[in-house]
Amino acid sequence: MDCAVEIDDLFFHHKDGTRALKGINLRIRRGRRTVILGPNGAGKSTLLLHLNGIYLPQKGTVKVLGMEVNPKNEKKLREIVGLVFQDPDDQVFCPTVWEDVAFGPLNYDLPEEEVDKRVDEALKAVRLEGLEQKAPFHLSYGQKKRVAIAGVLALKPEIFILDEPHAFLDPYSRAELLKILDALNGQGSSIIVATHDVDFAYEWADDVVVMKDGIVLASGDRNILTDDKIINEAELEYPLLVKLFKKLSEARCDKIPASVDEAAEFLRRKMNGKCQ
Amino acid sequence: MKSSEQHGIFQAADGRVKLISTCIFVALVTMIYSWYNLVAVLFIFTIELLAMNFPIYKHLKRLMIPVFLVGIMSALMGLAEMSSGQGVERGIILFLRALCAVFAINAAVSSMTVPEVLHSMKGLRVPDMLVSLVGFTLRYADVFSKEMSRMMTARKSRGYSPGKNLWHFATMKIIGQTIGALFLRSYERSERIYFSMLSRGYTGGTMPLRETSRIKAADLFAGISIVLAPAVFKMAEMRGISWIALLK
Repeated sequence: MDCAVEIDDLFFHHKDGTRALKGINLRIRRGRRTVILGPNGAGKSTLLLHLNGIYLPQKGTVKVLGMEVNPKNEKKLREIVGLVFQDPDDQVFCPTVWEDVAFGPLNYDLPEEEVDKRVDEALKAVRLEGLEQKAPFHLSYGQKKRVAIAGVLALKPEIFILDEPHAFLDPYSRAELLKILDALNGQGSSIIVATHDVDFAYEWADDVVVMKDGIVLASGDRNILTDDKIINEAELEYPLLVKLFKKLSEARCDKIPASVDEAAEFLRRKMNGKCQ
Repeated sequence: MKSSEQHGIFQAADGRVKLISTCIFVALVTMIYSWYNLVAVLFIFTIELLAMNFPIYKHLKRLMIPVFLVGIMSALMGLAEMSSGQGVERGIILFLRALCAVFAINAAVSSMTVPEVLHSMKGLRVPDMLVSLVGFTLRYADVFSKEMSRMMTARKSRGYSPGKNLWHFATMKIIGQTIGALFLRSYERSERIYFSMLSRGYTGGTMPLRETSRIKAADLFAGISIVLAPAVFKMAEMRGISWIALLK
């Protein structure tokens, strides 16, 4: 298996003594859309901060694209693993949009023309051209989120990590964000998203990892979200589609549809069959 | 701080020129000793701003609080000097000097955006650390004021209403708790900001800012216009020339 991330027996506790990770073993496949699901306090954010070396393993090992996370290669690691934080106000801090997006490339001492090129490309990818000289506090929340993504895009990382990307976003901004993520995945990037949004995970993810209390409860394809035991143990809810099809026992479907489109198609076929 | 498109010559002028000429303006007005020269400087400066399409009425509204404070300080100073028989005149001169300075600083700052202020500071070779500190302060002042306002709204939604004076213990306690909570939140946010900087390859140094453009003739014109009036009146004062006496 071609792995983007390999984690073995990872432990981590915060300064206040909270044990955030209690022996994580996990493989995340390269070029896939992976969602890490779990309730608040499951350790998702702490785990993500290990993937680009912000937190270093206190016990165990973390390897990203075969490279072990340690103090020696943390800067290199941050170039290949881009991390988008939950609150864009934590990430977008420069006086103008241009400077914020250029922050990463400038930290890697790239030539001026290359910085300009990357900033232009990144802003184009998130559809924020023309706002280069805007101050962040004049932007909407959704725009700030896109600036935060552009700031990571400008580094051209191979792995994109997003922590609760949908938090406080309106439906339109959410749809825009999904388009950007799909486009990145289409270009071969691995996308890792931490969230507690089961509907998003069920419809969007190729692979799902379920966490609770600092351990990995289960990992696999989206169908693990139809498993009673996993959902109950993780204190999550079934995705809406799963909930609906579990209740419609008379629908007698072998496999619960993975998306609204699939569900609509299935129901249409069923209804047509009944009418005929 | 300016938030909309640039209009007149003064607003469009280079920030470095505006900052330097404002500093010179303030230094000069503090050296002018006669009230009538200060009045003339203020008048000419206002005319210049109007000629340069500066939205003066909007600007005057913003001056109300600083002018009120300056007025109180000057009145106190005047009262303290009453025994010498020149208290009123000294109070008026102090008030006019402060008014000129506040007027010019406010005009300069309100005609610039936050990025312009920071770029100008950097262009003027202000130490990078200081520019970064000002940058972070200006960037997050808005975030923290919104956070403070959300906390107060949440308190009000649970029936809290502030007392009417400073001796209301419960109100002071709540204000203290709010400031404490804001302080802790700021601390936590600063850690998250630092993490986000690290995650984009930050290893120290200061906030990267784009290079500023070259100073043009129109910028110099705006800068000279600002300092011209106080410079002329100060020189006249040094040579013993008084326009009031000439009028007589």
